[in-house]
Amino acid sequence: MQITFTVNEKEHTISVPPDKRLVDVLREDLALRGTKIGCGEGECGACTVIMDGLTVNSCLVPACQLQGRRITTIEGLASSGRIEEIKKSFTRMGAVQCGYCTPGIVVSTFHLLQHNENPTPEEIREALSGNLCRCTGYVKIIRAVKEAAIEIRG
Amino acid sequence: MIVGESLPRRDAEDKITGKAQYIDDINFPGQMLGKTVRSPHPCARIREIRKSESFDWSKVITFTSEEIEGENVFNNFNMDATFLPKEGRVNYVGEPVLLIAAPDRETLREAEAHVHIDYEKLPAALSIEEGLACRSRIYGEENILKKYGVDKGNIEEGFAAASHILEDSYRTHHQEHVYIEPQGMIAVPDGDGQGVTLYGSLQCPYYVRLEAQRLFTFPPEKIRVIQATTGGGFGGKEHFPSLVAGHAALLALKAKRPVKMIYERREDMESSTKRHPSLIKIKTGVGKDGRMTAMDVDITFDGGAYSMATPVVLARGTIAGCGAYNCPNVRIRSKAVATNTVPTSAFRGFGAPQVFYAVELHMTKVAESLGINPCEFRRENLLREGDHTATGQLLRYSVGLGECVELVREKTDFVSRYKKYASGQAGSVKRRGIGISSVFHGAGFTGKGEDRIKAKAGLKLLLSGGVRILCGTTEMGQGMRTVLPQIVAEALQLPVERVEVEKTDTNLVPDSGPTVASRTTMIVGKVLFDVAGAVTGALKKVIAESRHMDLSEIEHTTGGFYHRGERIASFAGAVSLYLERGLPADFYAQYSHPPFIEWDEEKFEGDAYAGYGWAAAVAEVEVDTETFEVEVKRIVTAQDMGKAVNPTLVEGQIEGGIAQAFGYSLTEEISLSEGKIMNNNLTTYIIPTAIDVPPIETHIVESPYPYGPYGAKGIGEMPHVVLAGAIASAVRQAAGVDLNEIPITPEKLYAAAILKGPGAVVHRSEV
Repeated sequence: MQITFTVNEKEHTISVPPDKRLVDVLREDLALRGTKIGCGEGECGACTVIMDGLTVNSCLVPACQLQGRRITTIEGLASSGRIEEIKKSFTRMGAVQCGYCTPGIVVSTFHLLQHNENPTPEEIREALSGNLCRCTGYVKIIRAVKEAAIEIRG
Repeated sequence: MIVGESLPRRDAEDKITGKAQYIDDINFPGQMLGKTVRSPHPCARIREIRKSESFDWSKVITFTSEEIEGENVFNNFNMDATFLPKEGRVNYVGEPVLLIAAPDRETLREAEAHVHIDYEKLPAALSIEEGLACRSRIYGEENILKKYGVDKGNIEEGFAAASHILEDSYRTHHQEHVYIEPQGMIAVPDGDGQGVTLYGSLQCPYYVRLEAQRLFTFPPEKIRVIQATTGGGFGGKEHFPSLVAGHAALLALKAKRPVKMIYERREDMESSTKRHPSLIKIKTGVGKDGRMTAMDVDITFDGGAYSMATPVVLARGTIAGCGAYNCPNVRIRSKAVATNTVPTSAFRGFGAPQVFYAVELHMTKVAESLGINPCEFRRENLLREGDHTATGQLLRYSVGLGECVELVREKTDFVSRYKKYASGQAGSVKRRGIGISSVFHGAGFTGKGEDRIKAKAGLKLLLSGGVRILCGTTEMGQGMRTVLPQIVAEALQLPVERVEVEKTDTNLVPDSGPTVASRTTMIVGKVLFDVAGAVTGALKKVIAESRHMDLSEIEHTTGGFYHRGERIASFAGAVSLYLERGLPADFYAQYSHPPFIEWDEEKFEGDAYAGYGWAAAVAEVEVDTETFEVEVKRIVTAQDMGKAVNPTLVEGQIEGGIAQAFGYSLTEEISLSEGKIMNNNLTTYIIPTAIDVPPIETHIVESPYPYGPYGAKGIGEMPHVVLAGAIASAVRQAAGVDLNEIPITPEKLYAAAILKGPGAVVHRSEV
C-alpha cells in the first residue's frame, strides 16, 4: 500500500506492505537507523519514537496506521538542536554505557521535559519505565534527566 | 592527574544521537539474511531433514553439518560442543540443526516453513539430579563436565574444635544476560572464497577467529574479525558470538554472498548461553570465641548440554567457596554436571554470584545462631592482609575489605537497625529487615590463565605527536575506550585528546586476551603502562643521541623532555625526531604475572589471582507479610578496586552490576518445561525497570594494587557478586522464614511461610 507521512518534518510517500513495522520502515525505507530493535514486542523501548505528539514503540506500529502521521526520531531531535542540554548532561553524568537503549531513552526524556519542566525523580522513573537499560541501573540516567531539566529552565 | 578524573566518555555523542553503528545498522550489497532452525526437543536423534519439493529453493541456501569441510568443533574447553549436530544427536531445546539463508525476510520465513525435520525423541536429563543419575548420557561416563577439590588444614579437626555447627543447602537458577542489543554477526566472504571477514556484536574478536578457523581449510590469517559497536555483553557475548559467526560464515561462503544473522529476542533468550544453576551445601564450625574453625562446602553446577566455559566458571565458583573468611580448615568439593538444557557459560561474576549468595546467607544464619550481630561476626572472621586464603595464597597487599565493611556498617547504621528489626515487629503487616554481604572477586584469569594468554598490547607513535592504542579488548559500554587512554595519557604526560584507540579489527590490533574476568584495566592497562615506559625510554634515547647529551640527564615529565631542568623537546617534537630516523612506530609488550605468583593447577592451590577486588553491601528491605512482596528500600555498597581510574565509569559499573544482581535476587526467574524455556520474552522474564531499582549508594575504596596501572585492579563483575546474599539475609529477617533459594519471589516466600507452620507465621496479631 502507499502511505504518505511526515518524518522529522519531511514528507515521504512510500509503498510498503500494510503490516510492515514502523521501525523497519524507518530503518530500511528511510535509512534512519538511530531507532533500534531490542525485542520486537514493545517491551524494551529501544525503538521509541514520537508519533503525533506521543511516545510509541515503533515496533508495534504497522504501516497501515501511518497515513498522515507526524513522526520524530532521534535523528530529527539531534539535527534540529532540540536535545543539546540532554546531550550535555547525559555525557557529563555517565548516563551512557553501551548506548543501545540510549536513543529510546533520549526520545522519552525529550518528551517528558517538553511536558514537565521540573520533574521529580519519581516522575522521571515513571516516564522512563518503558525504556529498559541493562548497563546503568538507571541511577545516572535519572540524575542526567534532572540536570537537563535544570539547564533547560535556564 | 588524568587518572582519577571522571572524564566524559568519548563515544557518548554518537550513541546519544543514534549515529553509532551496531551490527544491524550495517549492511552489505547483495547480502542475504541467515536463520537457524533449532531442535524442539531436549534430547533426540535426527532421523531426516527434508526440504519440501513444493518450494522454490533456487534462491535459498541451506547448510547442514555434513557439509562442514574443516572440523565441526566449537569452544575448546572440553571439545564437546559443535557448530551443528555431530552424529545426528541433539542435546537441548534450541540446539542449532540447520542453517538457512535467503535474500529477504519473507523468503526466509517461507523456506523455514518448508523444512521438515523428523526426530526420534530420547529420554532427557532435565535437572542436576537427573544429570547425575544419567537419565541420558551426555558427557563421558557420568555426565561430569569438570570437578575440583580444595583442602586447607584438617577438616575433621576443625569440626572437632567447633562449639557451633550449622549445615544447610541453597539453590540458585538460570539467569539471562538480556543485553539490550541481541546477538548479531555478518559474514562477508573473500572474492576467491578462501577467506572471510566477520563483523559483529562481540566481546572477544580473537575468540571468534579461533573458533571460526576450525570450520574451514583456509589458514587462520584469512579470517578477519571486526567488532561493531556492541550493545552490552555481560559474558553472554564472550563465546556465543563465535557460534553465530561460524554459522554466518558457513552460509556466506556457500552462498558466495554476505550473510547477516541477527537473533530475535525470543530466540536469543531461549537458545543463547545462561548463568549456571547451582546446588550448594555448606557446613560451618565456629568456636566459642566466635572465630571460624571449619568450613565444608559442596558445589554442584548445572553445565547444560555442552561444556562451553563451565570448567573455568566452576573454578571461580570453587575458589569463592570459603567466602571472604579467614578459616583455618577448609574443604571444598565442586562438580559441574551435564543436563539436556541450554548450555551454561560466562555471565558477570562467573560462578561467584551463586556461591557468595549461599555463603553470605549462611553466615547470616551462623551469626544469628550464635546471638552475634552479622556485622560483628564478619569483623571477627574476614580476611585481612597477611592472612592465607582457602587455596593457601598469602594476601600480601591490597585488601580493602575491612574498610568496605566499616563503610557500609556506618552509612546504614547497621548494628542498631539489625537489633531493632530483630526484636520483632509484631502487629505490622509490613516488616523490615537488613542484611550484609562481604565478598571478593579476583581480577584477571584464574591461576595460570594470564601466563597462558600473555596479553599483547601496543602503542603506535603518530606523526601528529600523539599515540594510538593497539589492543584487542572491546568496548561494550564499560568505558574501556575512555579508561585506557587515561592510563596512557598519564604515563606519557600527554593531553588525553592525543591518545587515540585503534578500531577493534584483528588486522590492526594484537591479541590482548578476551574482554572478560574484570581484567582489562588491571592487565591490559598494565601492559600499556609498560609500553608507555618503553616509548619514553626510546624517545629519550633519540634526543640524547641527536643532542649529544647524557641519557641519564634527560627527564620526561609534563610538557615534554628536560635536560638539567631546561625543556629541550616537546613530546610531539621528540616523536618527530624519532620517526624521521625511520625507527619503528609500533611498540608492544606482553603481560606476565608478578614473579612471586605460583599456582598448582593439579592440586588447585596457590595464588589464584594476582589481585583481588573486595566489596561489601547492605540491603534494607520491607516485606509485606500478606502479599509476600519484597521492596528493597535501599542498597549501600562499598567496593575496593585499587584505584578508580575514572570514578564515574566505576560507579556506572557498580550501579549496573547491582541492578543486575537485584534482578537475580528477586525477579529474574527462568521457568523450564521439558527442557524448554517458557518465559522467553521481556514480558515474562522480568529485568528491573527505572521504577524497580531501589536507591543505590556507592562508595569507592582504594587499596592500591602495586602491580596494576596506578594501583588499579578490576571492577566489572564484583558488583554482581556482592548483592544476593545481602538481600536474602534482609528478607530472612523481615519475613521470618527460611528460604534458601533465589530469586526470592512472593510465591516462594509464601510457600516457605506456609511450610513453616501456621503458628510460626509471625505477623498474625494473635501471636
